[in-house]
Amino acid sequence: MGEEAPDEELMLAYRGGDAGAFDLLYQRHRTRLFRFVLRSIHSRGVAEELYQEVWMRVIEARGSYAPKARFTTWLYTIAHHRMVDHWRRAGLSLVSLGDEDVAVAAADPARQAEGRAALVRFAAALESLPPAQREAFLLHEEAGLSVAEIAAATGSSEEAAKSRLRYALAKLKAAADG
Amino acid sequence: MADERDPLVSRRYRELGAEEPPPAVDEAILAASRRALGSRRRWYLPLAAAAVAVLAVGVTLHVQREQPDPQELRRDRQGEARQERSAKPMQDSAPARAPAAADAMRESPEQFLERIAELRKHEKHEEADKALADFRQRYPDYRIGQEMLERIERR
Repeated sequence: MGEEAPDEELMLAYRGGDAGAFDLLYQRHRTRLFRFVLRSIHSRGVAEELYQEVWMRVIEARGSYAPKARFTTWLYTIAHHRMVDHWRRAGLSLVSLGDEDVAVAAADPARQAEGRAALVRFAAALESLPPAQREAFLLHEEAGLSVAEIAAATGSSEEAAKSRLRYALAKLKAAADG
Repeated sequence: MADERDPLVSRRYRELGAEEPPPAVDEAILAASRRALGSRRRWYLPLAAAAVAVLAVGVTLHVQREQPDPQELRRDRQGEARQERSAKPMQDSAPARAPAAADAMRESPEQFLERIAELRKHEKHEEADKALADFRQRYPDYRIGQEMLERIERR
């Protein structure tokens, strides 16, 4: 299986017993998926755990994989479900928080002391986004999903996905400009 | 809405850092991916092991069935020992008779007659008579010459 092979072919090859195909697939998606999980969760320990769980689920579900959509959409759908489980365990609901802003986390004074105020503001704005808006932004920015794919991965309508993404971008742009 | 990305937002986002999963996590995931394939490919190994176990049990049972009952074996050995003991006296008495029989078997008719003539010559008539009777019984058709006849018969 060549390195230029599409994700879907690699996943099918892995399903057929080609371990090398999974290696290629993993190398392509590891950093983006990790950052998506890390910036959704904030806790590095929990993020690493969830990240590993997502890939384990990919491995377990290989037998039922069918390339109905892009592999990326399938991968981030799994990640979304793991995230929902996490929020549910934490007593929060990703959906109910979708249209409500949460309190902005206090900026780390140490970071401000480093003279990176703009970046700190941006990071704080990203962290303070409602989870559903942040997820929509990360799926678009980090994973490269379209609005339709975000809707498919998160089980929401395209309108809701589009709205969340626009709200998130507006808030982040304001933080970046400031 | 193909791409909603804002260049400034994207730039700031990239500046947040390029965190990567720790190598240990990478290794755990890749190892799991290989284990999953290995377990599927080797599905026949437990089956083969089970087949070997069943075969081994079958052979063991067969061998056990074919082996004689230890008690029966003991009885057989005791019986053989008894037979050996009862046969021994017969073997012991055999050597006593053996020389005469062996002598008779080894002697030619002429030698037999010569032995009788010697017995007669030494006036062992009873023994000579008995030996002559034996000779006639053993060689009923043997024609004894006149000269030998005079030497072996009682006068």
